[in-house]
Amino acid sequence: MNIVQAFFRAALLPAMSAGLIGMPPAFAQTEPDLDIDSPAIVSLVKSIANRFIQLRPHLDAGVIGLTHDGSIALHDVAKIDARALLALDALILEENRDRATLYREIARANHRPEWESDLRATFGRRWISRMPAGWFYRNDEGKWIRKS
Amino acid sequence: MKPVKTVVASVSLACIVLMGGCASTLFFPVKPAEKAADKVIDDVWPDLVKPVAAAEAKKS
Repeated sequence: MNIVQAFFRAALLPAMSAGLIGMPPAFAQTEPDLDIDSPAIVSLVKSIANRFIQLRPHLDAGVIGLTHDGSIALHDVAKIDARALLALDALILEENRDRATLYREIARANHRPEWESDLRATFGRRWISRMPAGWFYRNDEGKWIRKS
Repeated sequence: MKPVKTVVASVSLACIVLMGGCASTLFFPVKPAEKAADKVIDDVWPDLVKPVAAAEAKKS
């Protein structure tokens, strides 16, 4: 048995049968859509959509903004009073919890939990790319930018 | 000869596992992920954005 056969029999076959390696999606004929229809994902999207009604005035006013990693964050607290800030803080916490769960659930629903951080980054890019002009976002250097 | 085979097999298996890990990041399906993100954004911001996902689905 030569070294190639030894490699194939000893390492490649067991690894393939154990599912450690497989055909990378890029080599497949077409890239299928990701599954985002699980009940958990649908419920998270609904929750985020419902909360948006409360968040929108703060996004329009620049009090909060989007972040490059697919979350939201406080941007300009000088624009609201302390009581409103307390309520807004709670909203931001809930929103970011839902968003984090959403990215994790999409990765899980597609049987690739290791995709979570890539999904987060992709969603972050798309949220920012599609948000209206005038809103603020924080880039990966921590700098706040007003979208023009 | 047997120890050599065992070492070759162990090193090979380690490389394959490592390659598998890199490949999953390297071969992250960017386009389908962007499409999924657009579908979510269409649902969350219905009055704010033109529905990209629906428009692209119509095109294809």
